[in-house]
Amino acid sequence: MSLETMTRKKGRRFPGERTTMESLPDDMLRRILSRLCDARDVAACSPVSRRWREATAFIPSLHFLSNALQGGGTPADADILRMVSAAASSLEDLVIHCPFSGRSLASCLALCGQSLRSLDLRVDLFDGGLDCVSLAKGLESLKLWHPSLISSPNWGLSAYGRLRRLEMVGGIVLSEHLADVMRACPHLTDLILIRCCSEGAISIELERLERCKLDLYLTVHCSLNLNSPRLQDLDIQGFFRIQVGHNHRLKRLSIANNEGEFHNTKITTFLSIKLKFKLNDFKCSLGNVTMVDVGKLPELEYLSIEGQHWYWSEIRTLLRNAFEVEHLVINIEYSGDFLEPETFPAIQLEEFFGNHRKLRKLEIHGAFFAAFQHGISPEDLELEFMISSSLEELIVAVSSPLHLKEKANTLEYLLKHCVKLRRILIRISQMVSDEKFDDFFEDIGNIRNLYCTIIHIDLPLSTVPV
Amino acid sequence: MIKLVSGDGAEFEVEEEVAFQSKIIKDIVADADDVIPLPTVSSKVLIQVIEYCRKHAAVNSFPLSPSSSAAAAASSSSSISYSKPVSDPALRAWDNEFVKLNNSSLFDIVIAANYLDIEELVDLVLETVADRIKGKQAQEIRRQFNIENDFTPEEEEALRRENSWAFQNN
Repeated sequence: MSLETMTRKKGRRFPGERTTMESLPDDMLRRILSRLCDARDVAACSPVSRRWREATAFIPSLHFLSNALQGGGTPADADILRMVSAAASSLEDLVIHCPFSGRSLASCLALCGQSLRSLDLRVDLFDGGLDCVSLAKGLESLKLWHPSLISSPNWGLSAYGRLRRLEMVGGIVLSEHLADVMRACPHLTDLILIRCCSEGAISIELERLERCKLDLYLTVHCSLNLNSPRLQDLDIQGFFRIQVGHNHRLKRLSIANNEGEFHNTKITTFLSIKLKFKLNDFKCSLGNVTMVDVGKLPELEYLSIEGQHWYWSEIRTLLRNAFEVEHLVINIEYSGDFLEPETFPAIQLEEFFGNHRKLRKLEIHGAFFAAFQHGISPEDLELEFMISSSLEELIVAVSSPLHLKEKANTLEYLLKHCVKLRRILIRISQMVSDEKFDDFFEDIGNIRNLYCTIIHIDLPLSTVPV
Repeated sequence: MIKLVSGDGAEFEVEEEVAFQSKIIKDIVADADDVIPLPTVSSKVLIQVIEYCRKHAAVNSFPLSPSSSAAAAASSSSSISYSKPVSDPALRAWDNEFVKLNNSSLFDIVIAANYLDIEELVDLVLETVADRIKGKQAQEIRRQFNIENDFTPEEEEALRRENSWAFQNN
C-alpha cells in the first residue's frame, strides 16, 4: 500500500479548515485522556461532551490522592467505585490515598482485578483487610501504606505469580507474616520496606530478587538471612546480625543500624501489649552490628556502613572483601569485638588505599579517620600508594575534639600523596566550644594556604565560623 | 538525500537519518533518491516536523552515556508509563520549547506525526495537550478546546452531581 492510498483512508480533514480537538480521531482523543491519572482531572473530563465521556472509559490510570495538598473534596466510596467501574476494563494502575473501606475495596477489585497491574493503597485496613487484594491476580506492583502484618493475609500460595515489586511503607511487619507474604509472591524482583517496625529473625529466599531495601526503625532483635542469587542492590537498616547467601551479584550494599525513635508511643504500646515487648528490648538491639556475613564482593561498586557500634572483625572482613569499591561510606563511631564500645584500632593508610585501588569517593566518620596511621610503612609501599590512589573526593565528619591534630596531619598527607584528589569537605557536626578546635582550624588554614581551594568546611548553623 | 513533497507542492530535501525518524518512510524507501509525496501534510506543518526530526536525529546519533540511560531506566521502573521519557535534559528542554504552540498547530503536528509514524513526536504532543487539560473543570476545558456541550440540561445536572466531590473546596 502506498502512502497516498493510506492518506485517503486515514485523513479526515478538509483543506483550509482549522484543526480542532473535535476533528481529531476518537483514538487520538483516547490517547490524550489516557495520559491523565489524577481522578479529579478524569472527573472533569467526563462531563465535557458525550464523546469525551465515552473516551474516559478507556483510561488506564486512576489516582485518588489525598486532598490535603490540592484542595477540593474527598471522594466517597461510591464516587471511587463509580469511576473505577466506568474504566474497569482498561484500568491498569489504581492509587487510593483517601479514606476507603475494606468492603468497598473488595468490590472495587472485583470490578477491575482482571486488568489491574499496579495498586497503591493508603487506606485504613482492618485486620484481614488485605485478603481481598488477592482478587487482583495480575498485579505486577503493589504498594501498601501503614500495613499491619500482625496476622498473615489470606493470599494463598503463589497467589501473585506476576508480582514483581512489593513495597510497604510505615507499617508493622512481623517476620513470620512477611514469610507468608513472600510465599504468596515468589517472583519478586523488588522488595521494599520503608520506615517499618519488626522483630526477630527475618528470612528471605527469593529466586529472582534483584533489589531489596529493608528500612526498619523500630526493631526487636532483628536479624536477616537472605538468599537470592540475582541480588544486586541491598540496602538495610535496623538489623544487628546479617547473613547473605554468598552466591549474589551485589553492586551496591548499604548496611545501617542507627538508633531508632522510641517516641512513637502508638506503635510501642501496641507491640508491648500484643507481643509483650518492653521498651528496653527496642533500645538494646539498635545501633549495634555484631555479625555481617556476605562473602566475597567482587562486583561491589558502592558500600555504606553505618551505626553506632560495629564489631571490628566485621568491619575488617567487609572492607577486605569490597576490594573493587568506588564509593565508600563509613559512618561508625565505635568498634571493639564485644558489647563494650572501643575506639578503632590503628589502620595503615597506605594498606587501606592499596586494598581499594578503585576508590574515588570516601565519606568517613572522624572516629574512623583518626585511626589512620601513615608514613610508617616501608618506602616502596608509600610510593606505590602515591601512584595508585584514585581518590578524588573526601568527606570527613568531625564531631568530637579528640585527635584533631592527627586528623589534620592525615589530611595533609592525603593532599600531598593523592594526585587525583580534587575536593575535601570537612563537616563539623554538633560542635562543642572547645579551644582544641581553634588549633584545628589554624592547621586547616595552613593546609588550605598550601593547597588553595580544595578544602571546604561545613559548620553547623548555630556556631560561628572562626 | 530524500525528497519530501508537501500537500501544497513544496519540496524538501532531507538527509536519510532525518527522514528515517519516520518509521513509515524508513519502511517504504527503497532507493536513496526517492521522492515521497505527503499530500495531507501542509508545508507549514512539514517544516515543523522536519525541524523536530533534524534535532532528534542529531541527538540520537550520539549514544547516551551509560549513567544517564541508567537513571532514565531507574526512574521509569516503578509505575506504568506510557511514553519513554526523553532522558537527555538538553533535548527535553528543546522539546518543551518546540511545543509552545497553539492547540490547532499542535493538532496539525500530531496528525502528521501519527501519519508518518514518529512515535516520540506523537507522545510529546499528546502529553502537551494532556497537560493543558490538567487542573481544569469541564467548562474551562470546553472553552479551551472549542467543544460543544451536547448533553441535555438534565444529563448535565446529573453528571455535575456525580463529579461534585472533585470540585468542592472543603
